[in-house]
Amino acid sequence: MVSPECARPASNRVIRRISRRPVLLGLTAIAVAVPAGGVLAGCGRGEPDPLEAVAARARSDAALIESILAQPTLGAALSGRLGPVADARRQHAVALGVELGETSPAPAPPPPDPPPNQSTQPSSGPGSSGVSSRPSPDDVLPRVRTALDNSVHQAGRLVLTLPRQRAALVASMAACCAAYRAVLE
Amino acid sequence: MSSPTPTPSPTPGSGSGDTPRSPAASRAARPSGSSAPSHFTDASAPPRPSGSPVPSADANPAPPPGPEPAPYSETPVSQPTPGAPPPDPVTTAAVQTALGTENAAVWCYSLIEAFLPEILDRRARQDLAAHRARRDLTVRVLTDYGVRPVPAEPAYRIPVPVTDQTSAMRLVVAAESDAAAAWRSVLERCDDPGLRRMSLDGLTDAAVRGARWSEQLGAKPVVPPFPGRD
Repeated sequence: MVSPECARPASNRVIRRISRRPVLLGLTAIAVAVPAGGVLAGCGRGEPDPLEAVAARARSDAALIESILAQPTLGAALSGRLGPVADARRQHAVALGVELGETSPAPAPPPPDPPPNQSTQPSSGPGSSGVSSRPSPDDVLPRVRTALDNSVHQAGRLVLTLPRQRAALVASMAACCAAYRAVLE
Repeated sequence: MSSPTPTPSPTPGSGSGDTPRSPAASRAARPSGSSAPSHFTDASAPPRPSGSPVPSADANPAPPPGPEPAPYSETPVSQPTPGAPPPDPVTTAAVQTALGTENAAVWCYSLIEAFLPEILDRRARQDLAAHRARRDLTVRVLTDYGVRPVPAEPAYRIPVPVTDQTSAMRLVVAAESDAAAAWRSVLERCDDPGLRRMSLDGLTDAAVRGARWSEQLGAKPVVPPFPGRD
């Protein structure tokens, strides 16, 4: 696929000879300033970059799904459906980290959210005599759908106000979450 | 009835033009001149002067009612902010490209009906209706901008001929991918929140429809991580 790119400013086509020292000093300053201060403007001093919350959601979604995938009794069918969602959310987190200028490509995910309203110990299900019950789609899919819904809404709000390139990036993530949400019915 | 028959690039011996028999087409520039990717290009011919140039979905008899697939609730219609300043030519060109992909999607969905079983045909007709609605909305938006909307082409050259259910579904997956890319491209080129919302809806709806068809095809993953970009 060809990714449309925003029009880039035309490079200065007037070639001039410049002494090397100012160039090297400038490049050094940029190399120091960019990671320290965030890549793009719009991150006011002291204000968190709005993409940080989006990245946090991507990481927490991935962690939630990974915690579900870690259940040994999860069936192959459910694993096959949920694995790509976790992959996508991890990729979202990485892309947002790049946008945020994070040096670590994959920040450590937060501890997975505890299941809000599900029994937490599959091995202690009622009536089971030492045999762990297999989580059913009805047990796990609502949690994933809810998480994706929240991510879609969060991203949808931000798309209206972010700079263009960021808006397109976040919109793609929202569309991805919405699409997975739809096929996880 | 009198709806135009899609006749992709002529192939000797391809009797009735109902089935696409065009050779795989190289990707070509969109008619509107913007840079969105496309699996399709207009097959030929000067554009039709006006009116709805797409093949009518009603050309085929309506299938009997069957089990309803879980309907995806299309996002509510959103439009550019009233009173917003008219967009610059870059934005307008991107919207024109998006309109071109919606026109192409309408054509594709009309084309594949004959290849789908009943239950999938119902879904295809839902998706066709959604693309028509978005096409009409986009035409209105461009008209409100004082821009003449690009007309639909009478036919489109498609990557692979449609000969069966699988190739039919692959065609609409490609059409949805193109639509997603075009609407994402609008987002990269506009600032008006209303137009952004409309573009987000177009991108999201295309991704959702594409995911459902990909799932039907057994493709993995059913959703690209960044719809419209990859």
